[in-house]
Amino acid sequence: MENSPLESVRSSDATINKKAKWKNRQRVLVFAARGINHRDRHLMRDLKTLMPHHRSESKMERTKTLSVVNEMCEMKHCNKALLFEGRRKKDLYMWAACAPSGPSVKFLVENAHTMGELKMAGNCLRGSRPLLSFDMQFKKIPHLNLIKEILTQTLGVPNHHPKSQPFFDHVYTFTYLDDRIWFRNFQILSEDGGLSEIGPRFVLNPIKIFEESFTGKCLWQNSSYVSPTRQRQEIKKAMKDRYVNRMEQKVLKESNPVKNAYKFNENDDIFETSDAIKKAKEYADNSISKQDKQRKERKNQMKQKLKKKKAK
Amino acid sequence: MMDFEMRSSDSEGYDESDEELQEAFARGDLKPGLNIELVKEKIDVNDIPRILAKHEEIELKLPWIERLDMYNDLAPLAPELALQLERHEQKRANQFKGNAKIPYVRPEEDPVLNDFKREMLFHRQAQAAVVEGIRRLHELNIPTKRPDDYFAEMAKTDEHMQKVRANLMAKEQGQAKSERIRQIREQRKMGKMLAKQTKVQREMEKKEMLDQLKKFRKGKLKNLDFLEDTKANAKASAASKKKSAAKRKARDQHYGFGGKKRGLKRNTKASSAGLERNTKGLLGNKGGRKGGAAAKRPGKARRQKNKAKAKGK
Repeated sequence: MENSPLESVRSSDATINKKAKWKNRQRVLVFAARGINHRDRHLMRDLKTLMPHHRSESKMERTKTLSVVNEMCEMKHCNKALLFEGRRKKDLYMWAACAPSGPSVKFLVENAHTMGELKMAGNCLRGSRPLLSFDMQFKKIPHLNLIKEILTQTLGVPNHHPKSQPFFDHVYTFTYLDDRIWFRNFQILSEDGGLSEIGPRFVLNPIKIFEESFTGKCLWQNSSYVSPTRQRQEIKKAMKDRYVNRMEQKVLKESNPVKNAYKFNENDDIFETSDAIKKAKEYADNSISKQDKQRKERKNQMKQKLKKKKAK
Repeated sequence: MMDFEMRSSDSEGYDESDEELQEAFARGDLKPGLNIELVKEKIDVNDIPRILAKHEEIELKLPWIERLDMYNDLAPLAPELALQLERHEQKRANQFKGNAKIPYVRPEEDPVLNDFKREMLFHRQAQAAVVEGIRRLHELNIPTKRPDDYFAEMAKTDEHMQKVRANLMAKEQGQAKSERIRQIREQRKMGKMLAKQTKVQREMEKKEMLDQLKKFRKGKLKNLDFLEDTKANAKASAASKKKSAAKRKARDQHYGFGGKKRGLKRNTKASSAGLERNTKGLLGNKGGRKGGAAAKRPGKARRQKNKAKAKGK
């Protein structure tokens, strides 16, 4: 390794004593609470395959309080915890915490795609160390900076971890967009930027940051966060309004029927009988007699008026 | 489903407020219609000094190789990506134009809702990260590539990768197929147009010839040379002959040509199910009208009316 120029490929015979150099000893307890969805379970499994430094734990009962997690971590010699919590078999929440005293973050996990999806064509070594790429926003905004530190320590694979591989073949990107953190995992095909997605992919919507692990004062809270249940409720309410509007309009329309939808020619029914000419003559006579009547009426009216004037 | 509680002691606090409510209800202070549920307004908490302190507390102060984290801007747009993006933008604009149901989104706000653009963003960030990360690793004299004879367990199994490959292949094939179909459709369209053109041209030629014949009759022209120059006509007639020959052939194949005729016109199991033959060449345009419904007989009332009208006139 000392001779330059550098060989970019390590010979496969070269052995490295990993344990001696293993400084950054992170252990992450990755587990779920009961009531998790199958897709979310697969997502958790994918994360586990990508994290050789994980410890697993059986599903946690919902009757327990969250502070129990700290004891679990202590028993498993873990200093980090990733807890997946499913609600209503629909929504997934993820807690990321530094076990004994550190901060903890609660995220809502949205749009999760697992590694099993066929459109993700990339692949990487199991346990190779990912490059962690963060958006520039993580530098500027304090709470994002804290989240970045937690994510780096949990998802980043420690150097010289016994189960890790000494090659760099994938990269995680964390991008802050639309008030959420978007996670992607790409395989490095070529070192000049050829990429192929491995998965999983998900979006983390940060909800709260606590000072202690699973307890403590709230350091940051997302005021724009709306819980998915509430969101669904609002959509339903909007639907209700639509229904009511439609029914009202229907009733209104029925109560005011259209009077003259089409202008009929009133003489049209002449043609409905076999001898139209006869009928037409009848009509003509009628109309003439009507006109006569009207004339007579008018004359009478005029006469009456004149009489009244004279009387005055 | 019950939710986790942050601390067990929290639950006691809720009990107290419940008791208060119960007492109020017993006194008669609570009446239906008087009480509105107040929506707790969310407070924006952002305790920056504490956040910074906590960050300082937990930060791993180790060399970069232990952490591998980077801040990245987007990599410059690669030309092929730019081309793809342009094509996609055009497509998107057409979508907005063609379908009023898709709510219009301004291009600046588009990246969140536009899958392609968004993924491109992440892709470019990852590219920048790769370029920078690999450079840094090489600066630290750390080899990054895997030798060809190094085998280890992969994140996805070989079986799964086989599936992925099959899926990709199927997609490509589907695309090729649809492309071919589109080409055929276009060819057909072109053929129709050509046919129309030749028809018009033939009519023109005929008219011209007749004109010239008339002129010849009247004695304005002295020779009949114009009759010989009809190469185009001959070609066209040959083509039509070819077509009719194909039709003849199809008919011959079906109805038989020569040989015994007995039983040929009887239905078989396959023919009655309509499976046996391609009726396209044989039947011409008999089977079902295509353009527009057939002219229907008007209803009785209308017929009578029409009749009366006709008489009236």
